[in-house]
Amino acid sequence: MNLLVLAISLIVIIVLSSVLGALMGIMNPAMGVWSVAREGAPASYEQLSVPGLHGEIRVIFDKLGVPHIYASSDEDAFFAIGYVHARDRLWQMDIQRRFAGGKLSEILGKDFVKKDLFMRILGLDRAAKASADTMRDTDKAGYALFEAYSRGVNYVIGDFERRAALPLEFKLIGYEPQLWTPEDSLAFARLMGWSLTNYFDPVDQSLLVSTLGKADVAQLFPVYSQFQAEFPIVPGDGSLADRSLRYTLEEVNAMDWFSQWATGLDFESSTFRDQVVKAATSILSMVSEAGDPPGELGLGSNHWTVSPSRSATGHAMLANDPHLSLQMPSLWYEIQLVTPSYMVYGASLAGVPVVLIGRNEHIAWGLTNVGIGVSDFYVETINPTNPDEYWFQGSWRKMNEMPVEIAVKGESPVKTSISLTVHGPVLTREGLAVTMRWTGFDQVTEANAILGVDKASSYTEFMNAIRQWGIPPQNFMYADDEGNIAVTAAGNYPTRNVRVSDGTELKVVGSRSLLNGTGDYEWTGSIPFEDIPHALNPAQGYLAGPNQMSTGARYPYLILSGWWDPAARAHRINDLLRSTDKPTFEDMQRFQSDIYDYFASLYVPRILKATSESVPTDQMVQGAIEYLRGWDFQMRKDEVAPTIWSYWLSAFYNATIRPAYEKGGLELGNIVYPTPETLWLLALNDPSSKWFSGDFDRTASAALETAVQALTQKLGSDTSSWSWGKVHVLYIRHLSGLAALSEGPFPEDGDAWTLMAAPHIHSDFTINAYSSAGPSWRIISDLSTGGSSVGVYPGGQSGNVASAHYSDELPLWQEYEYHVLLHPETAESFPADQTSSSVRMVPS
Amino acid sequence: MIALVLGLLFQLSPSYWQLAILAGFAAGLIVKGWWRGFAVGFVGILLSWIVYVVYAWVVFPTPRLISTLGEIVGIPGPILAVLAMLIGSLFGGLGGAIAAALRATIRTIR
Repeated sequence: MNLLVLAISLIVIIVLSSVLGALMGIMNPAMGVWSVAREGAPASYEQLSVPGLHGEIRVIFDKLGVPHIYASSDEDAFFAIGYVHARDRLWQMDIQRRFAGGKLSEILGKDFVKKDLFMRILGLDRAAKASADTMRDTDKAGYALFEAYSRGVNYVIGDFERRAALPLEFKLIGYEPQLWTPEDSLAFARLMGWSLTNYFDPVDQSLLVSTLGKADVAQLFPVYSQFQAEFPIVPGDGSLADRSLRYTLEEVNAMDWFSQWATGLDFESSTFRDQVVKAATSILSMVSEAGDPPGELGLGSNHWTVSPSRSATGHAMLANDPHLSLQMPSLWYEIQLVTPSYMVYGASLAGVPVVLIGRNEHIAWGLTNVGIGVSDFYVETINPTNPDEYWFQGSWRKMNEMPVEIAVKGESPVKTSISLTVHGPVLTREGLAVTMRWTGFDQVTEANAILGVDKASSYTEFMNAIRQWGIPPQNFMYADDEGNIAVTAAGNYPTRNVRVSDGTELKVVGSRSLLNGTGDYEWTGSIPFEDIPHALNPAQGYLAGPNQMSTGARYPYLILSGWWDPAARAHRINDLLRSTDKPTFEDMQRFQSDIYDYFASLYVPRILKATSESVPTDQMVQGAIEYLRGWDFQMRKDEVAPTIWSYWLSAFYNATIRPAYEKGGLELGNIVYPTPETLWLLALNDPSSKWFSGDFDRTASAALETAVQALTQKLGSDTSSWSWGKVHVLYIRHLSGLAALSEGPFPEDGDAWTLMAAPHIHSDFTINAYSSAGPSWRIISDLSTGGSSVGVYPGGQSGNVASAHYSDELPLWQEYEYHVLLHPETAESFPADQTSSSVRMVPS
Repeated sequence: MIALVLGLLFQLSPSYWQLAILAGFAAGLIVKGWWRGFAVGFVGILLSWIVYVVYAWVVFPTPRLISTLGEIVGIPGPILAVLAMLIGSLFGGLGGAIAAALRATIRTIR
């Protein structure tokens, strides 16, 4: 009997271990997830003995979990940044660096192979490694700071592993992090650069020209929009002191940017056009499958600043809210840093040891994306007798073949290779061999630039710092305690020389099209820093930069590609700033939460006019018209008119642009659509255009009927229940995709065109189920002596779901409220009633 | 008591959950009868789990975590926790049964 019991017990143990081992691995008290709860409530005081420190470090966490670091050297401060970043966001940092390096499949399996392969093609880790190698030789002090940061991160990794206290996501997925290196920080910085410059519009435009024709593309995608020209970020027409573009906006738009002289390619040939269709479709599909599609409209940012003469405080004020994908944990991490050489407070990115947006004792700054295209796409001429060779500047060159091995969880590694030419990686060989040249393939210098900004105490120092800024090009908005306001579109803008059909030689940035890759359409330089669009203390007393064109249409460097916001936000913020005599600090907050839809204010009266001339008989449609008639164009979540407007816009696009795209065989959702401003200008200038089937009013009326039908199907026949918040909801998805770790859905105000950006409409104007982008961080700074700064973001400092700081700022953000950004100068002066815990690090 | 103490020790230090078997085994060595061995191992580990869970529930933000885990797994969080406790205790009981049966077998051989 005893032997039987022995045998049965052993068998049961073996069987249950294999069946329930995973669950017990997660749920056991020793090494399971219970430690996550423990880490969610750190001790109120902790003292650490740390090897390699130069002096003592004090880290005080305030009531929102924001760390305030007081260190006796920059290097120690960077160690502490690494420590707090890792303590609160280690898994986020790890998944971000894996994404950047194309190493997701290793932990998540074969579904991520395509994404990984695309990232390997981009080679962010290659650029990061090259940068790190250069820094080690030429900027030892800078490299030492990144090493100190890495040591801080690795201190936490070691501590977590010793105490079996790795974050929840590691335990659920079942892996452990590798040690952090400076290359990881640089690679993530470059990933952010990619996310804000990943424009494939030359590929899009080439595909569109090859299917719709040049005339249609010129009409739908003008080089310069009249709307953009009205409110460039830098006031004026774009002329430099000694130069300006000799052509008008209309002349530029009328040029054939797909001609032989512009591209070196033969778009007149039907054979070539067929090849373009294959190649472009292949590239756009690859990008989409990699999870990098054209994406939601409304990703952009706002900033504005007012001079002392225009400010109610008598001092400069600056507001910034970058619009990015909203995620859990948040992209941003608030931090204050105090060393003998500088003090800075603001938002950092977990993984990169600098404050990207914020203020110090003397200056405040903010960022919005410039949007100018910094990639070009080349058609390589392949040797018909040897497909590994391409023609460049008079000879056949051999492509470099770079082997790639992608580890895949639970399966054999995927082995392939990437072909490289002088331009960059080959993206496709279907139809045509197309390569991409991107400024991001060069070395990473942005972290150094921002470190200089963090330390800057004057406009001169600030400008010296942003000279090093390369990618992504950003409109750096600036204000200081001496009353200066400024904006500079800092970045690396490669230029090409183009001889226009009338013989004039122009310097251009970007291209509307693919380019001939044999050597005559190469980058020949870049815009000198002194010529980059900038303004200092403009006469109008304010500057506003919500992603419209950085400069006017007479800028001597012709910008041919990129993405600019369709100018709705630009119009609105300029209207608000011009109509508000001396904005107060509260006005600046009110502007950030403004939900007035400028495009609605243009289109809706026209819709009402159209429907008054041919009155619909359907009572539901008549009811919809009444809602629109009484509307003030505020996108409130509890109102009905916003819903009708949004569905009308979607129906309008489906009736006008979509049929043409479908007829051309274009894959919808993978290619850019014209903006509402373009269609509005068409409606004004040519209401009988073929795009409106010859009659704008009839098309507009029909779109309203379609919208009402769609809403009836979705929400029922009681129009009073069609509140915007029922169809416009915010969902903040956790990076793991797990719903239990995500936030929402919540009804939300705003839309893609409001200052309080809340995009939910896809780039093909289909309505998404959720909005998942918007103001990822809001900050407003008053530069008066003792002036305060406020900030908020939709999340919390901790990536630990058990922590009180997982999402404690989210309710504030949803209500358009802010918290004061505390920045005491010393640890001793930190208010005790604002302290939740502290860590003291001493050299061991 | 042995199983309880050893179970707590194993839970409070980073180790493998399978050590619950060892804790139960240690307790089972001093009792007669495999069913008594199972009982002391099971109860000992269960008590150690209860002590730890009550401590964690009171001192740390455990309820929120367990609730979230329950959402992820698809089982209400507290039930998930109880299930884990019972499974761990089962292993402790099996360890105790093995020890008692082994002891009896060795005595019989002697």
